[in-house]
Amino acid sequence: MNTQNEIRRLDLWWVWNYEREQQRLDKASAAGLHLVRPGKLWSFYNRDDSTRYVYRLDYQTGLRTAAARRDYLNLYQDAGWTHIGSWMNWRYFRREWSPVAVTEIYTDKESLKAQYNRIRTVLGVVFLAEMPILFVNAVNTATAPRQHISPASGAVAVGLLLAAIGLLGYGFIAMTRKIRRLNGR
Amino acid sequence: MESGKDALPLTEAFYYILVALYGGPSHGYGIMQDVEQMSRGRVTIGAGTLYTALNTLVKKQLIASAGLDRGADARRKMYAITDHGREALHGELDRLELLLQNGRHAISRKGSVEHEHTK
Repeated sequence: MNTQNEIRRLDLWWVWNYEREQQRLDKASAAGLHLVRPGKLWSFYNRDDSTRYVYRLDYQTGLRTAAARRDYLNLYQDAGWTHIGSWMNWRYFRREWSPVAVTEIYTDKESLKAQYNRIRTVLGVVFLAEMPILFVNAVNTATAPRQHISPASGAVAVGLLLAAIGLLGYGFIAMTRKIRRLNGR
Repeated sequence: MESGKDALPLTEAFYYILVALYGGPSHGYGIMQDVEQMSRGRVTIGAGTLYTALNTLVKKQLIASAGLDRGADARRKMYAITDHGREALHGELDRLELLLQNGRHAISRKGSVEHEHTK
């Protein structure tokens, strides 16, 4: 549902830096621009200077059944959070800003570490899954007859895969560092 | 889990959830309110922390799902403490009592030594 008052914006952020995205959304809301519908690339905002929200992002991979999703969302709703949407396994919540209300959804080290671990596991699994794809592409590029795959397009495909794998690896290391910091190391 | 004591030491969130459920089954919202009341507002468990803690405690068999609330709000999932959970809570209380005793004993002994020196 796209209303006329909604402003469409391109939102790109790194999953290992999701806290920065939360801060950006909070800052935008303090300036009167509120996220109403998140999306993979395009997100929708509305402008209202009379209110201010706090946004939090939660990464949940275990919500496979409708009952599990219902229980999860009910709990957040009871705690004062409104679910405004999700993409992949990222859930977006917001609540009206207040100087006294608890604005963190993770209030202890153990549960925050569990959240970081979920993100790291997915980055690691996708990283490993991309490896054979890269290998097959590299072999195809090197061995396929030129009339089937041009060396340039093969090199571009391998380059893009290498960049993706590099980012996934970087993300995995960044999440590992965050977990270590929480462990006090 | 062989014994509830295998889960020791409990995190603050785990401890308060088990205490909140000791008196009878409750739902997430009830647990949040109980914890805030019990700790006089000192401890507030965030939604993500509570959700993670409840799932972990279920996996460790310290609490179990007890269906949906039969009261006015039937959408809320109920949780109940298990025998393992009671055992873990008693074990944690013993552990905390020992910590307190040891600390108080050491402080009072140091206090009396200092008192002797100043005489």
